[in-house]
Amino acid sequence: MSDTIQSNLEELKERALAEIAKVRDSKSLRSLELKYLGRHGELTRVLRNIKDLSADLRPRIGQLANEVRDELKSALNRTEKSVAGQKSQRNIDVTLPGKKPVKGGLHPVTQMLNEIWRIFESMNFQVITRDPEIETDYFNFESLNIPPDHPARDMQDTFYIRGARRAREGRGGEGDLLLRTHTTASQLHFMKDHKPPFRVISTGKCYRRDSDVTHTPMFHQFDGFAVDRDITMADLKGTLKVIMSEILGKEVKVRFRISYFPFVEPGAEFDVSCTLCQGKGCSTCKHTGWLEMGGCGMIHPNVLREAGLNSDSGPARALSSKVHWQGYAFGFGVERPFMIRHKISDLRLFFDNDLRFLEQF
Amino acid sequence: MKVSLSWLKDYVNIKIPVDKLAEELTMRSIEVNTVEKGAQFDGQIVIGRVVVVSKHPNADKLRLAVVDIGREKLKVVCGAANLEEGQKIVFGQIGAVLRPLKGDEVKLKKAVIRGIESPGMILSEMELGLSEEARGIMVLPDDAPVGKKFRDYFGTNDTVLDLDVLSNRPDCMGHIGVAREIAAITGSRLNLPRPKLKDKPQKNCPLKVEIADQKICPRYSALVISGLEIKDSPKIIQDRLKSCGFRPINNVVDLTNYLMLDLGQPFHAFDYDKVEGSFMRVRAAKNNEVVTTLDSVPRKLTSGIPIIEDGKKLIDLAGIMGGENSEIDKKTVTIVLQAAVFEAIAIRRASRILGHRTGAVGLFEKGVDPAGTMDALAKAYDILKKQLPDIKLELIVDEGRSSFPACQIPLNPKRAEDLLGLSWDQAKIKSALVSLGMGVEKNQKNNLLVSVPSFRPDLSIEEDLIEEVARILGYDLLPETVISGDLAPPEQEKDRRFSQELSQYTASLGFQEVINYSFISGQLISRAGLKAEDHIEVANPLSDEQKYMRSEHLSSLLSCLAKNIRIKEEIRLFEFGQVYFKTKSVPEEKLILSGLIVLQKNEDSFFQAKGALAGIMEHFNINWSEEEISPDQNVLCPYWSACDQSGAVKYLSGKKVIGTCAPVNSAVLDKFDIPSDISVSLMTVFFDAFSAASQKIKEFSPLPKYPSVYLDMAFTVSPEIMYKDIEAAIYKAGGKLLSKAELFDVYTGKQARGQKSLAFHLEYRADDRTLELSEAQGLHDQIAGKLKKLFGAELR
Repeated sequence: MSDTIQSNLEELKERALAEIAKVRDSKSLRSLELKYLGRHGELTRVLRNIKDLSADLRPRIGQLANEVRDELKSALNRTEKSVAGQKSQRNIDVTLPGKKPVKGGLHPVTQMLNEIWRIFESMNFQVITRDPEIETDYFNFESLNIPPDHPARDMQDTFYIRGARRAREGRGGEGDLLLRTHTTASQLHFMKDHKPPFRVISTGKCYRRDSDVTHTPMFHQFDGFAVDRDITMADLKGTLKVIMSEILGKEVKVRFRISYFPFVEPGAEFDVSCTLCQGKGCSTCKHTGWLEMGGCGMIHPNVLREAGLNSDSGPARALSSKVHWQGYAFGFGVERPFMIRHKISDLRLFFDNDLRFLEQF
Repeated sequence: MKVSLSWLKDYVNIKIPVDKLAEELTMRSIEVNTVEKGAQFDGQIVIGRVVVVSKHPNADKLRLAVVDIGREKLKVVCGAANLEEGQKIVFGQIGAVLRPLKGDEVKLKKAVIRGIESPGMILSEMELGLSEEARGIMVLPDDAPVGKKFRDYFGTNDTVLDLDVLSNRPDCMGHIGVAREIAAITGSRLNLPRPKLKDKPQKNCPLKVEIADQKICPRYSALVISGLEIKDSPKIIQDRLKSCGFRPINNVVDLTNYLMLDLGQPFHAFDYDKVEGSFMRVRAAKNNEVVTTLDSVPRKLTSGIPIIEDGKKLIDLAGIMGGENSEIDKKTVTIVLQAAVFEAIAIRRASRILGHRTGAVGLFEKGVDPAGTMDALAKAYDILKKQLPDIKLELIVDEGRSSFPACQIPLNPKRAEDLLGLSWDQAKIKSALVSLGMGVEKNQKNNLLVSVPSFRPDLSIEEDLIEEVARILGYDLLPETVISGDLAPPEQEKDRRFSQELSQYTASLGFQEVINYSFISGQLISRAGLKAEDHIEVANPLSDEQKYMRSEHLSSLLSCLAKNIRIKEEIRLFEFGQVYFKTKSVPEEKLILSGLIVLQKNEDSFFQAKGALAGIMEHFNINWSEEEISPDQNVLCPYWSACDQSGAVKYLSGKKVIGTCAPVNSAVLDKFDIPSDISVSLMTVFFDAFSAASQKIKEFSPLPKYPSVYLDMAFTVSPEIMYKDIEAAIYKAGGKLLSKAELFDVYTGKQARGQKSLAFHLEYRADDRTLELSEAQGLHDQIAGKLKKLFGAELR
């Protein structure tokens, strides 16, 4: 007897679940609910008849029937939710814009610097970002083989600090205070405190008395130098090729053009092949196929000597066998590669801080 | 500096096209800025004379001109305002081809202009291709021959290179030096004439020259020449001067300019008869002496400036500009032609002190070759003699040093290879150096001994010679190699990664980074309520806008805001960089991050700024406390007066201030032209203290084992009671079992009836058992009781 009731219940459950699974709208779902669980529903009938069963069967069958009822109820609920979900989705305009988070961002110079730091760190360079911007004449000029009254000082028209002419504590230098004209000013700060071999990159703000489409009185530079026993100008060319290709995001060619910077010898300006026209000539490269990037060369013996390296070298040395250390140095603007990469023609935009400019990057 | 191609060809055979030449020079020697190819004038362009000017019957701005071009007179229409009767002008006949610098060629056709036929055109410099723009027609000197082809008259069909000579290359400041470079890089022969003074000095005109200070003037050479007649220079000299941007004046002045452009040696001519006492002395000036220069400007001197005096007076601002009182004029018959060498630094200083720069200064400050003065004078005499066969050489003066032996520098080819990463054989090295005018001998042990002539003062060490070899043989031959070598891992600059993360995180909170100039104006300083005299001042700013170094970011950020407020409603800006402080000794630079939050007035930017700062401090795991700032407190914020005095807080880690937050005073906003209907607050992070306070490694706190009981509590208190005190009291009363008190609502509106209503979620939990509701409720009531007792809090 009990087995029959039990199998009937099982059969009823399977049948009901199968029917529920097929339902696609809430109306037929409600009629199914009535069919099985309504006042006159099939399961309700079974439950009503339990009281007629024998006392030993009643609890077991009762429990089973309740379980079936719960199971059907939850199946009905689930199906109802999914049927309702399908319906409401149809009412949404999915092409409406999503809610964007509040937009913030880093300045193009910071973005470029982040990349520059990453690239140089991957080449084992030590990164310096916090050397003083208010600098002594010694570190900015004299230690770099630019004595007072040297014509090369005209190339970098300098801002001086009013009324400041005193020693800078603990830095060993003396003389006028000025706003550094190049991050090359980091060279002696570093070299005096460290023993080669080393590879260093210094970045930050620099200042020159200049203002037009391609010059602003404040700008950012990065200046690299490496010293070891056997670093060559060919290494310099190789390094610049790797770095400039990374920074500009395209494989470039590098060429050296004769130039004069008192702190390097031999010295050169270096150009890279124009990334916009692939060297064919365009307005950005002034139809030369090349972009001027910066200055570079082999660190001048006077600079190395000032740093206390190669102290036995100098004009008096007869032969070069006593030279211990040699190295290369290069420097260029942070803004310029960004301008080239993003086709920006006016440097002043970087410091106008118009959000319509800044938010583009 | 401009050089003429035809002039260069006097000295070197140039076998390559001029564009190629310009490229080679730029790569290996001297940067060529521009190549101006000589204007090509059509044969139909002739010189004419304006005979009559009359009104155009149909146009106000046009006139009619009758032009005489020799074989005929033509009536043409002209629109130029500078047209006048009697002018010598350049006339384009029908069929003439015009080649302006910009745009295409134009062939002149017969035209009818406002009803009047015009058989040709009076031309401007622009139409002739002589300049990019012109005001009116080109007017020629009165002696220009009517009817002559303009190209035969004007002549300069020359190609001109505009050069940027490197500051260490005085030898390239003349055509001869440039020709030497061209010979070296193109492998051509250099043909330099070696002029000699053949005439014997007559010695009718005595002159004694004394160098009082040889440091100022290492060598003074001069010729006294008599029998002169001042007149125009020959055409070739005039044309070449014009090509190089000089205006021809007379034969003597032109000669000095011509030779300066040729040799890079400045010349000066004195009128011999104006030099009193047949005596000249070169010395350093004393303070307050005055000399009036050729341009009629009296110049007050300071001690050390090089001057020349005669027996009675100062006659020359030596090495910079001649004196007015010894100037040559139309009556001059005898001159002292000077080719002296003044010391570079002395001239440079003098020029800077006097604020007066001339072409001579540009040469002397680079270093003029002292060995070349006598050759230069011989050449000058030669040129003058050809123009004026009757002149006589009266006297040769040559004071100071006259011997300048070549400097000897050893060069080890192995060293060149080590430095460049590329090797050349000795023969190539030698030929490169020889082509530049150096002597090369073999030293012992395969080394070279190089003799550097005195015109190359830039070469003093082996590395200098290596550069010469590398550039002449070609930097393009250098291979690209990868730097290698043993290297310890580089040490990291303290806090750099941290600073990178700080700006990145701040940007992620919706702040846009800006970078402003470090300079600000006195006006901006005072708008921010600060004093200019507390700031570091730039001695030579570009403008008053950039006179001081800023000690805060606020004024710059407010300027940015004023610029952008019309573009966007809700703005968050930040700047991360140095600010500069005046101290008794060394200026101090401090790295700070400042953020500005801008909202509509009905929203409170202050609590958004506080929240952002709290978010940043939590992100960097900083244990902080906050304190209200009393108005008289100086908290490392020089801009304090710009902020609302009530309602500003500072953040501390231990006793160190790591940041601040405050609403910006609306009166200050007004000064920056920011509308008063918005709410602006500023947060600042003092980077070094902030970074030191950050615990870079977070310690794990175990997850709770037992469930919490959550109960809410809302009550009103009087408005002057501070949240900070209430929070502290809640935690104290709650004890260990109160794990968190979180404020979720503050209400001070009408229904609070002048009171402040606060609502908290309180979380109770025990670490060692499941907390019963009844126990939590007991504690909850205890807290409420305490708040009533301490603050008169009424539960709602």
